[in-house]
This record gives sequence, C-alpha cells and structure tokens, in this order.
Amino acid sequence: MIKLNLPVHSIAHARAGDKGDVSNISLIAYLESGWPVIEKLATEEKVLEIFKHMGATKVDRYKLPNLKALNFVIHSALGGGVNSSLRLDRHGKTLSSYLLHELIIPVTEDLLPLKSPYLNKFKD
Amino acid sequence: MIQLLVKGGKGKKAPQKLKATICCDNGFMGEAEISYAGPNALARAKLAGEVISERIQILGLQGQLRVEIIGAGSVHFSIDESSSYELPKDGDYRVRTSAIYPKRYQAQQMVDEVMSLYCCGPAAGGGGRGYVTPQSSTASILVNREIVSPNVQVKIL
Repeated sequence: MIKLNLPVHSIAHARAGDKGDVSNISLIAYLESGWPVIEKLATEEKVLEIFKHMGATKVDRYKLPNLKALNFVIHSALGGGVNSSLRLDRHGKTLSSYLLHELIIPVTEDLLPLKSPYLNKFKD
Repeated sequence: MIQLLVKGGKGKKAPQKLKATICCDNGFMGEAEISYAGPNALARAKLAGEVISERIQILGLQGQLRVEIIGAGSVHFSIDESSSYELPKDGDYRVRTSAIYPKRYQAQQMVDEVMSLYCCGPAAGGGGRGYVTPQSSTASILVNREIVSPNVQVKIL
C-alpha cells in the first residue's frame, strides 16, 4: 500500500483556545483508524518544535482516547497572551491550522475520510 | 542690478461668492476583519464572507455590505467579483467587511456578527478586529462672502 508524507490535516481536525500565555490545541482524528497514528506521532517534542519560533517553552500532552483526541497545552506560545500580545491573532485561534499544516505524517489511503481532497494525491 | 518691465497686468473683482464645503452626519460605518491561514485558507475565508452576508440579511440590516478578502486582491475586487489573480488555496487571507448604517447599534451588530465567527464560523478564524466610526457626508456650496469673516483659532487639547 502506498504511503505518502502528508500534513496531519489529512486525517485530523483541530481547534485552538487560550488561557493567559498558554495555547491549548486539540487534535482530533476523523476516523478510528487515525487515532493510533496521531497518538504515536503527534508527540510533545514534535509539537514543541513546531511552535518553538513563537516562543513555546514546554508542551504537555493529554490523551482522550474515547474522543480519538489529543490535547496539547503549549506554554508561552502566545506572545504574552491575549491582553499583552502584539500579534494580529492575539488569542492564537489560527494556530490549530498551523499545527495541521506543519505536522507531517505518513498516510495510507485507508486513513483518509470519505471524499477527502487528499485522495487525489494517491491517484498520481 | 536687472530691471524688469512688466506690462498688461489685469485683475478681476473679488468674487461675490466663495466656495465652501458643508458636512452633515451620515450614520456609522462598521468595519470588521478576521484572518484564515494554512490548509484551505482561501475557501475558509470565502465561506466566512458568505456566512456573514447571509446572517446580515437574516438580521434585516438594510444597506450595502461589502466583503473583501485581503490577500486575494481586496483593493481590486469584492468577494462577489472574480479575481483575475492566481491565488494559492493555502496561505494567509483576511476577510474584511464594511457597511454604513443610520444608527450606531446597527454598525455594531454587523461587527459583532463577524466576531461571532470565532465560535460559529469556518475553522481557525483568528485575529478578529472590529470598529465603528461616525461618518459625515460632504457637499460643495457657494456662500455670500459677507457672511464669512476669516479668522484662525488654535486650541491645544
């Protein structure tokens, strides 16, 4: 079976929240089959690496297997937090998209949800 | 020393009327923005624009609502016009809406609707900002010069 390196966007969705200077990002697998993949590959180290240039110092990961979800608590990632950040996106609401784009994982076709736009990649 | 001779100088009587600009209140302009970046950002921004247009209609706010996508040629096209530029589907796009309404609360309502996209809009909208600014409209008229007495006032606030 062909395996392609794709953004985790292909098999999961995400949502970001904030509390002070802490960004809180959930990563939720679309399918049951995606859960073990993100559980194995979306590590604290990987996520810290992705947000390091924004100032992140530490990542805590929490597992929610019943929801096929991971919750990342990313410290010092918000440029001081919503009340003092100079960024356009003071809450860091767009960081969920950034995680989905930057975390690259090996994907087989069966991990993709129905009608996924990523199915095209397997046709070439 | 050079001496110059100037001939044929002419003049006209000072005009009886002077041009003046008058202003009157013209309601309130609401402007709001929200960003979408990363995978599928252009489609998410477009969807946000469509959602806002529909919700403003449902609210019954009368008047033209302009929706632009900053990063997609916003100063040349509104969302209803097709951009002639090549646009990457991922990337960094910012939806901007603007409208003028008679009452301040109406402009605020429009702005609030854009801010609501944080909780009920396309994925990962962020960096929302909204402003309401009083507007004046202007027109040019002619006034009799007798009613004008030129003076300057400086106020240090």
